[in-house]
Amino acid sequence: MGKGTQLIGALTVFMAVVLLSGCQLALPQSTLHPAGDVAQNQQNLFVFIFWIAVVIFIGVQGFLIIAVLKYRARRGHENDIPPQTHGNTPLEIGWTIAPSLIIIAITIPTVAGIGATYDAPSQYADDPSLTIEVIGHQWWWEYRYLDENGDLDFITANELHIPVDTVINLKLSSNDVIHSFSVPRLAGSRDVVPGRENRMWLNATETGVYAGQCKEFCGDSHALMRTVAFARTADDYEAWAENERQPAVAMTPAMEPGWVVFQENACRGCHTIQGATEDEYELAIGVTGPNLSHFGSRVTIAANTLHKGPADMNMGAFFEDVPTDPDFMQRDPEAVNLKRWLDNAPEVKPGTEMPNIEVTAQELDDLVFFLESLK
Amino acid sequence: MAMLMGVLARPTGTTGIWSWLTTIDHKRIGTLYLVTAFFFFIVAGIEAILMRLQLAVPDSTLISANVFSQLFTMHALTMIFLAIMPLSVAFFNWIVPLQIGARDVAFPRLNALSYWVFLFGAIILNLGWFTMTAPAAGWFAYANLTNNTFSPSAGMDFYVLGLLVLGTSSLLGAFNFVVTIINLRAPGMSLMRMPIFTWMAFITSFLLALAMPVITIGLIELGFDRFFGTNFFVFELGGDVLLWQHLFWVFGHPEVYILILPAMGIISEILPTFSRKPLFGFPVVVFSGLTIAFLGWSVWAHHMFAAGLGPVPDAVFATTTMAIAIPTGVKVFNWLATLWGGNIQLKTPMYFAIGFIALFTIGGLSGMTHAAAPSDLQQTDTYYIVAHIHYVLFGGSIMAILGGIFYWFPKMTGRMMNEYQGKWSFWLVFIGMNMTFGPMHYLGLVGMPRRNFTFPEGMGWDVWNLVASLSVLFMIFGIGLFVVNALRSARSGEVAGDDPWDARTLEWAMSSPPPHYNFAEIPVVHGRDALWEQKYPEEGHETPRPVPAGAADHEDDERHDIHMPSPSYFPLIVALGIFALGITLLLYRTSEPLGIAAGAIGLILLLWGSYGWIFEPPD
Repeated sequence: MGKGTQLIGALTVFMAVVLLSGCQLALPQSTLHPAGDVAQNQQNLFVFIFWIAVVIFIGVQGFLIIAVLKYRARRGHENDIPPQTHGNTPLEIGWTIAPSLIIIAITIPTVAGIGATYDAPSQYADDPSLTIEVIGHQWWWEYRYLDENGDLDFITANELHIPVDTVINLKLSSNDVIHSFSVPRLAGSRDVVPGRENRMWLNATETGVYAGQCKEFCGDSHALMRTVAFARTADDYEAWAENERQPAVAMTPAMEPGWVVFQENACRGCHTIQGATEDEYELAIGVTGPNLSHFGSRVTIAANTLHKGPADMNMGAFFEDVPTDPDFMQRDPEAVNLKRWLDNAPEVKPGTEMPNIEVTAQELDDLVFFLESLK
Repeated sequence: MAMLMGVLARPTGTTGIWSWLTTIDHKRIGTLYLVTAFFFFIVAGIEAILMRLQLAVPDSTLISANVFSQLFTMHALTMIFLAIMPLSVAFFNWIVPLQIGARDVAFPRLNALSYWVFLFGAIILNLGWFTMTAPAAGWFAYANLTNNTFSPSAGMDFYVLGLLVLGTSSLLGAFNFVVTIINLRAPGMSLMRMPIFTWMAFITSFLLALAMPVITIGLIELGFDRFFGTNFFVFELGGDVLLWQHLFWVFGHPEVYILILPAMGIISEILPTFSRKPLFGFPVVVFSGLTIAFLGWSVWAHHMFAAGLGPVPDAVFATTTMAIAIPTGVKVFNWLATLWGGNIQLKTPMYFAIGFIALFTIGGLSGMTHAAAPSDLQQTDTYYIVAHIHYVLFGGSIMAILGGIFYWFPKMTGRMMNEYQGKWSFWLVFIGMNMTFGPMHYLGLVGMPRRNFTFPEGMGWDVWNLVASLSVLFMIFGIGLFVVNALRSARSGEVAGDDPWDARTLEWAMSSPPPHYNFAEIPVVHGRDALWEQKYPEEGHETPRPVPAGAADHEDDERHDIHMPSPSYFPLIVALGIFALGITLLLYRTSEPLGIAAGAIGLILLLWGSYGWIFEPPD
């Protein structure tokens, strides 16, 4: 009859295309392409269960197809009454025990692996470690790097830089509603819950740029609460961190027109720019929005809703092209994406608290120059 | 005297609008449920179509973020509370009394009240569409996104009040069916002779009666937070946002079984009928249903593996969740064994039942991968889960319900649905559902999160989203053809006769459609598959021989004077009172006098309705 045949056929084609496409496309947010041990362990568990499921799938669907083909009513015998079998106790005991054994086989590695999604297991005790506080906001991520003493080292947003082969302990908390932090190629998600501090850890075993995003629905622009993780060599990371620790660059005359626009539009009420002295970037101490002290060194805009590359470059291409050292990324000289965001943020990110500031084209140019100077 | 005290005389009409508004006949109420729920099934389907339109291409701006949030919230709420649950209840109403040899349910007026309260709850839940402020925080409505700060529109008020009213309806129905099934079975119908669908209705009713109070607590707490400024879920003031998740999922997971157990019951009727042999391992199928229902209470926190409860709770809930796979697997094996050795009639209901087994198995297997907590952390809140739940609830519940409609349609209307069109419907829905939800497994595994109103281009998600969106067309045509088939067949389908499928259970023992009193004589039951045993008495077991037509019939054809309760106005009046009370707080927010007026009217209707209900004359 072909119901089952069709199903198997469709699934075969489907699987084939899946496997092929896995080789061809950039998959910066894939759970199937781990680049860290936590994600690798999660994938191993998934693959183990997947193959068991494939065997059961073939068994059940195969049996179903055979039963239907073998016992379908023949012409002229539609009304025949087959033997009225009511059951078979040994068989039924058998097919209760069989799934029980399979379930036990799956449960053991499951339970064994749970602890390692919270804290790094003892085998990582000798690895260097780094602790970062992750704070969820509607709809962006604040990253507060801590030093060895657990004190605040520096604050950044949306772009997570980590050294490879280092245990990264994340302390998760929320400023407003529940979010969920995930960078699938490094580790599966953990919720970011207001009123609680959750924890998870991850490491990156190879340098690269990985996409992540909030996974718990957190309001209208949930889809636009994204993040990027840069896994870098220890030296690269340290150079980046050292720059982040510094105050923002000293104001130059060329930056001043943009600073005026920044002041006049009350940007500093929500954004911090850490100056070398209190007077420099006066009153730019807001904490409602991301810290902009080194905005110019970032390559993404508005929690990676947009990127700073050419406006016609799609997000997948961006992840393929962006080097692990963002300093080397080619910025769009016209800054089309950045201007789009600065000019009318709610149009880009519905519901954001950043207002439509309604500035002239010249003011927008000045503002872009000012912000991009904050390397 | 009665009139003086405000008690209306009982209506007597048997046709026209008033006969439907005042009916307390379980079959008519079943039809009301069926039509209403199928309407909402279409509504929720349209919501899904709009979402697939938006997600057909990356970076789409067709639908705004907020409207998209409303769409996915209402799609889930409508499918769950206004389509699948009441469609199951429609079958409970139509079929259970017939299967157990009863003249009606235990409390016919309460049954009517269930329906009207359901209808008004559904209306409250959907009121937001008129102002485009439908609930928009997901059907799971995680606190604290649902409080006045983060959800300032009236959307969450519709959610709270609509679900409270709907819960009332579910509770009334659940009690009614528990009492009916315990008390009104025909003589000789012991529990283990009870038809399997009735068994699943029985188990589901218990689940409903126990699960609804839990969500009610959560809803009342949320309502108090929103309307009266309490702080159950306000973390700044010592509230706990995870409290909501626990309450919601303690209800929410049994709810999943409330959605699937009736479907399992339906296909457990269809498979034996069209295999012409009994359900294999009947006691085991019953017991695994009970086990699923029981274990269903111990697994709720598997929805919260990412919430950070800690390794020990995660391990416990992963283990209990795995355990549920055992009785579920046993059921599948018993269905397969029912087919094996049968004389399989490939009629349309059987297509849907076989489709159920094929698709539900896929949903169950993908479920194993996210019962494994560490693996789930990657899959949770991605399209992989969307694929999983649609294989279980569309491939499972909806397939069974469509099959069930096709199967019992001749009993309900006296006419057959068209086989040829029925098979076309099946294939269109089956192919469409696999091509829409199948690719979502892959989309989730390559990292596409759910509940996103848009997605960026080039992430490896573009092609399969387009495939998923286009394939919806198959389902639109399949369901559309099914509706056309049903509407046409109801008028001009082939006349069915009492027992068109040569089926096994008592509902096929009477004329189609059944007389309003169902059974002229309450049958005496001597075994499982009561009708089959009358038609084909087993001698020395194994190969039964049919008895000549008519020989098994009751000898008497004289109609006794059967007393059935008359229709009543009061269920509708009480339900209107509950409706007015349900919207009181909503109105009060916008206008105090309006709110007070609604509350007063509601109270009066409720009190008068209840009073009249009690003192209503019997005829």
